[in-house]
Amino acid sequence: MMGPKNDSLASLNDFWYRYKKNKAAVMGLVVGTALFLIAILAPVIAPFNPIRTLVGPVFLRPLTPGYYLGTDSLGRDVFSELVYGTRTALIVGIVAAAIGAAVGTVIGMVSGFFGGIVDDVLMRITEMFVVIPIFFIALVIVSFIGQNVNNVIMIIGLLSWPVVARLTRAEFLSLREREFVQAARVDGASEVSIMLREILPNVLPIITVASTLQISSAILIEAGLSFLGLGDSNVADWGIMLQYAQSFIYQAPWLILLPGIAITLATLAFNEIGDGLNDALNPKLKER
Amino acid sequence: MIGKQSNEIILHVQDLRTYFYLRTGILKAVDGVTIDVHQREAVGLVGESGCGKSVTAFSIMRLIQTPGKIVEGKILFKDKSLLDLTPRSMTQVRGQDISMVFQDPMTYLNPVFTVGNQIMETIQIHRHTEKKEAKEKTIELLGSTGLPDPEKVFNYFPHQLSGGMRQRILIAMALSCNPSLLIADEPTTALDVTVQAQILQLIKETIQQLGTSLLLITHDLGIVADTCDTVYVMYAGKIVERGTVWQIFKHPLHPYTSGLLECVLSIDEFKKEIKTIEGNVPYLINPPSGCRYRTRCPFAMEKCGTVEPPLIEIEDGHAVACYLHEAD
Amino acid sequence: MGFKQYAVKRVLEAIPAILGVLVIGFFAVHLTPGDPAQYIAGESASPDEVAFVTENLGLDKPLLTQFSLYIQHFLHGDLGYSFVQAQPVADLIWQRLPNTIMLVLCAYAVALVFGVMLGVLAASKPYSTFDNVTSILALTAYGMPGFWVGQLLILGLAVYLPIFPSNGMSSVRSNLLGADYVLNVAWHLVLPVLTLALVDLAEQFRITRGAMLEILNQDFVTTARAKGVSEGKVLFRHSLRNALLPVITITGLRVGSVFTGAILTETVFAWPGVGRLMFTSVFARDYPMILGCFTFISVLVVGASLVTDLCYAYLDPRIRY
Repeated sequence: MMGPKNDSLASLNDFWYRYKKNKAAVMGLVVGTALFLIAILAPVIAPFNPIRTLVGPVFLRPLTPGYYLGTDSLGRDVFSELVYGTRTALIVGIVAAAIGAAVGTVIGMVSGFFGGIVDDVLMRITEMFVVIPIFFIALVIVSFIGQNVNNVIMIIGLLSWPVVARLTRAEFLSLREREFVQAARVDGASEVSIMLREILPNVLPIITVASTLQISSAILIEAGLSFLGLGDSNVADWGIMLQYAQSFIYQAPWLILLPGIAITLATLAFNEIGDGLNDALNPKLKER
Repeated sequence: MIGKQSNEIILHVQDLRTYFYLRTGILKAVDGVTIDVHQREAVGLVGESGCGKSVTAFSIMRLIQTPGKIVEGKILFKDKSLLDLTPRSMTQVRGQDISMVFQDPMTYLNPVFTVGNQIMETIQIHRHTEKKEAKEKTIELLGSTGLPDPEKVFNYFPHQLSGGMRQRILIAMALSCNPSLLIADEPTTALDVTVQAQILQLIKETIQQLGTSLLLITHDLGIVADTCDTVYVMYAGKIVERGTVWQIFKHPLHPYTSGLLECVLSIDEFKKEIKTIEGNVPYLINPPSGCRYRTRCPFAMEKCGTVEPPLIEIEDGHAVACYLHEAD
Repeated sequence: MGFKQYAVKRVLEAIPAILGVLVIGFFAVHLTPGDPAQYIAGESASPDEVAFVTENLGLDKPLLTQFSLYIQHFLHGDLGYSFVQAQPVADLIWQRLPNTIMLVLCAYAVALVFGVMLGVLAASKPYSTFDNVTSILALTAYGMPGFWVGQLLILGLAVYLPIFPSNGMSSVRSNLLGADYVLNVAWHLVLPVLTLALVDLAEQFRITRGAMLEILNQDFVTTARAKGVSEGKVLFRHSLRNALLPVITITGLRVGSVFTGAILTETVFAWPGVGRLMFTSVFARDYPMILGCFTFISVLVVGASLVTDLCYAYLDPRIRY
């Protein structure tokens, strides 16, 4: 007899089995975990305060003893900057994606539930966001409300709802008339409780996948914003590193390479994780 | 019955083997098939779905794509080895020397080009004619396939035509450059019953007119009886019997052939019990040893499970691969 | 639905989008911590200057009045006044606009042509080395920040191998005229276009490849081959025509990202366009300019998107529904 505990263990195994099949996704998970660890262990790993200038001579080449990856134009330790930058990237990425997912799910459900004018208006607004990229709007708003990490996270998060909202709404509308929902209605459950109890759990896998992809997107947006100078000057950040690096492209070319590689790795990792989650959570959707 | 056929062989397929390399194993779709088509002859290739008849046709045209591959065998067209041609030379053979008509005219026509355009293209590729001339020829062809108002039809898109009309288009396209051999793969299966007869009639008349040979692939014995001179019966990738239409229908030698005939006749003659052949076509990744039909054969002997019976000619032109009929 | 009806419908649909843009812009000003006028005039501004800004931007009037004034100005083409550069925003934008348009159009074209071509070739030999390599490259391109690609190109093709210039639109010191000038600009155009086109190219590649793989499985492709059509024609004439629809749809959706990508690209290459204008205004805290550029570019993007939609609807009647 399979008790509930055995069931969830079995499905966890199933999940992992399916996830494992996508080799790139496994790689992504490895890289993602590594980044996590780096972020958490930052104070331990990084030898210097990342934003402190003149911890050593300027433009030290990488692999100089004591300064693993050298220093930049103002004598900041590149390695420490990269390590602490991981924190910024991950925090911004994950929190913003989470906010986007939360807001998006609510709006999607509301839109699907009420239909009519509410739905129309919300979908119109969503369409606007399809045409005008988030980055652009974030750029303007952040420059007005002040550039610090919290604002950036909040703005990116709040601007990320359209994608999730659309998905949620679509799923909601399609699941609404399915048999198990009808059965619940017959049992006398209220619409709201149906929404939360029956439909939401079925929407979660899709939202999870979409949100994971939003993490990558958020990381790229944040990098772009700080590249333009709209980041928080009190935190280490990959984007701003690239801005500084460009002025000294002749003297210190490695300054351009490292932060970019970091951003690319992080983005690709979450993209692949998202892909793997998709294969694992929605096996029926996979075409071959 | 088509009429006088000469003894000149235009297509000689010898011991053809086409295998599909799948993840689950090697699917031996065609496993040692030998077919001869003479000039002006209509040959029928008969068998159930999945027996490899279409794969044979595609192999002859060298249209087999990965994971499929022609592993062994010879295909000689008028003494030219088709398997040795460069891909470019092969494209010149297709449509000009050997043409093919397919099963479902809806999916086999390009939706974004007019039907006239699609026929014209064949003419332009092989005959290098001027556009105007090609267009005239196309309209002529359309008319000769029995389409009303050919000039208008020229500009239609496939979705604007009925199934029967589309099949006429495919036939026109195939015959536009006067090929020596027409391969028709289940040309009427996807059509309405009423239209089927018309299309068959069209094929018969046209090939008689043009002197084209025909290789007709079908599972429908009725069509074979009506159209063909010679019949090859195929089962699980192999030819199990060969003979003239008369020989096959009057005294079938292979149990499978007789089984097929009984099924057809039981339906035709409204017998009380519709006869079927028990069992299923064997899975061609690991075919049974010996005769492939033995798992369903009511006359199976011990010998049948050992070595495959060879195709032996029993009477003039009538050959069978079965231990029931061993040459004395 | 007739084309005219569809056109009217789409234009009407675009209006809420533009309204949304205006709303966002308007409220951005009012979301500043503290007094907007102070924010805009700058920390070191004197009270007189702050008062001037307040007066000039009408910040002391009730919100609704402000908003209607804002819309009225917009409808008259007045995008505000830049205190930093002492010129109307609209003028500054008009000066730079052609440069950005040139960059964007070239990038668009490059992305479309090469993306589609590579996609077709990859689909013609699925899972071959070529296909695997290009697919992996496309995947990587998604992860790379666009501006970083620009920097890498500078590193590779302007610093280590000094083939192309690393910034600007034309060589400043020389006095080139006519054809020489055009060539010079073209030479400066190469790296920025490659940078801007890259992510778009990857997207076109992916879409084309996917669509082509599906098409190549279709029966009518077999017919074409059976007719004796050469493989090249099968790919580019018979198959691509069918595969183009999703490609074109994507092209329309990418308008926005290409334009905003231009902001980053122009910044990296110091290309004198509207994007760079936006960057410098952020840098200099020139708020009216930021707002003006935002409004302008957004409207431009919505407009371009609308125009492309209408073009497709004109060409393919099926889309109108």
